[in-house]
Amino acid sequence: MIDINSRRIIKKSIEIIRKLSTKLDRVKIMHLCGSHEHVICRYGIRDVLPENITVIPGPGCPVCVTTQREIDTAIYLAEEGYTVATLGDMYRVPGSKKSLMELQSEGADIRIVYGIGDAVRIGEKEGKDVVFIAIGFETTAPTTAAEVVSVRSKGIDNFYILNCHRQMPPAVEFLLEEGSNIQGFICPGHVATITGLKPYYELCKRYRVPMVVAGFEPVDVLVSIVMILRQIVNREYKVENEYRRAVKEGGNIIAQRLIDKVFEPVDVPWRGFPVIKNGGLKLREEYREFDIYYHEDIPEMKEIVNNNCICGEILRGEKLPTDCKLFGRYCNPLNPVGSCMVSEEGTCNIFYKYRKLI
Amino acid sequence: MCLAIPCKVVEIFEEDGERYAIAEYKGVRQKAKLTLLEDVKVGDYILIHTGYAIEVLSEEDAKLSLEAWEELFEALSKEDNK
Repeated sequence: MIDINSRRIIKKSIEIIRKLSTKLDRVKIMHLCGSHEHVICRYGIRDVLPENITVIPGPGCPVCVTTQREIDTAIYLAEEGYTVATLGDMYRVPGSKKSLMELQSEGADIRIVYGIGDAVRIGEKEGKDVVFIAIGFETTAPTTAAEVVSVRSKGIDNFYILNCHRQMPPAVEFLLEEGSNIQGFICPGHVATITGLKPYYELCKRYRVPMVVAGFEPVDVLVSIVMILRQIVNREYKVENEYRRAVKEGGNIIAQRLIDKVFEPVDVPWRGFPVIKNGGLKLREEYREFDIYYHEDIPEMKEIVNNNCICGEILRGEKLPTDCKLFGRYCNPLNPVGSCMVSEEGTCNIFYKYRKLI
Repeated sequence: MCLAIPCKVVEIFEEDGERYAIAEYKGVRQKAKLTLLEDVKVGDYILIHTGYAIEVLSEEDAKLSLEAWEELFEALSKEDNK
């Protein structure tokens, strides 16, 4: 594979960003993926941006936007004797009373898996009732859908999901509807490999805001900033695809069909947000036997959250981790208070990791 | 989470009626299901996410992107000189 990080393009884009910025007042751009925040912090991209151009992180971390109630439900299920399989990041997110990691130390059966397929195999091999915590945006939803279809065809009857899937475009719409002052969006490339550009066309037209689907190399982020600033200078608003090497206009049709076969949109709350219209996905009636909420009577639980944690404001792009009085001292990756400090994709975790550079 | 790393396909095989690829990144090999993709060949670069290949990367599009960005910058320099 050719190296996309052409030195020449990187230098040129920084130069052009500086030139374009002289024609602009303050510009706030939001990105929607923890992997973009990683690239921005790791390569010091904010340091090369002019003072009036700000790039802020948004709600682009599936672990972070999962609600306390969903985590408490996973803990409840493990306490009830289910084998709970989860991706690594969810393992350490504090619930109202404890995390899955703490519960495991008390003897509960919690397994860290790389993907949903591994969780199904645990159930097949060991014959236990397994619940997989299905988190993720459109990039991950088709893997859950594919596995649910495969589990059905194999006649496996000891596998369930705790469905926490979210859809990204409705959250962007929520922020725009609230009248945010974001003038451009760097859209998540790997979500778009599945969805294609269509959901962004609708948002872009309705809210007249530039949107650029971007890849995850430093050059991708810089070029996407050039594209957004150029649109603002020219008073345009359109969807551009910076990540052509991976994102097709129509997305991954097989994956879209699978999502549509297994899931339907549903209104759900996100951490830091109220209920977002169509912000989630639920299993269709034909597949609800795999939904743990259908299979098990789960009681109402009271969420206990630390009121000093500002994960919500960070996820809405209103504050940065450095605005939080818990950041670094009281809340750090070894002793996280909120989900944004736990996940590798969480803004607080990334800021902590690169704190000497910020 | 949505970190998908481009890996080179070194082998394709079937197991329990499902298609898989073994793909390599800097010497590390991993297995990925090919359920979400139709045309994958040995030698292709694929993006793998939580055990599934989600897209084939196009080397040609990568080259075209570099050219397109050069053109974009060229156009921007001209706009600037107006």
